[in-house]
Amino acid sequence: MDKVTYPEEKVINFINDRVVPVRVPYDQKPLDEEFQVKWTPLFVILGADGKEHHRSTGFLPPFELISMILLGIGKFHFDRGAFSEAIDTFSEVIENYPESGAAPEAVYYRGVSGYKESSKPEPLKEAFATLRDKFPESEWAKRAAPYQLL
Amino acid sequence: MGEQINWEENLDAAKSRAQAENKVIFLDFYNPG
Repeated sequence: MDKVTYPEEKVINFINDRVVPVRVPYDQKPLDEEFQVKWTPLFVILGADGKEHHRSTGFLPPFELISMILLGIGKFHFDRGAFSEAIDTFSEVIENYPESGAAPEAVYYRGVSGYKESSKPEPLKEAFATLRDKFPESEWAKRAAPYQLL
Repeated sequence: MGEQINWEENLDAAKSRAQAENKVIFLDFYNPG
């Protein structure tokens, strides 16, 4: 991370602009127990209250790190019921990082957020169609399969 | 020397900043080697 991802200007600007970054050794007490750190690097997205909303283990190149963090920000909004903000953030992943590993999950959660916001099934159906067409092998396409029946 | 990531080294300090700046926290557990 220190040699490839963190020196990238885009990563530096994104992290400094969008999140509060904190870095601790994997064995720092009591955080290692609290977050059940088993392997590094481990990235966790937290709210200001310390509650966890998303995590990822293992090296990520620049665009994958940014998209993973955006996915985590979207899930933070989703978890607090701020569905409009969640949709905007998931859309940022889908539109700006469509090749990222985070994109299929962002499509899924954008659909769920749209349903939660509107109480209409169309966003779920659209999520399934997008996953079927663009990410047919992803686990999120399988999870969204029931939405084609709505 | 170029720009660098403005890392906090303490989670409590990060929580206070996150509250004040209305942001989420990005926590990186790393192996210092």
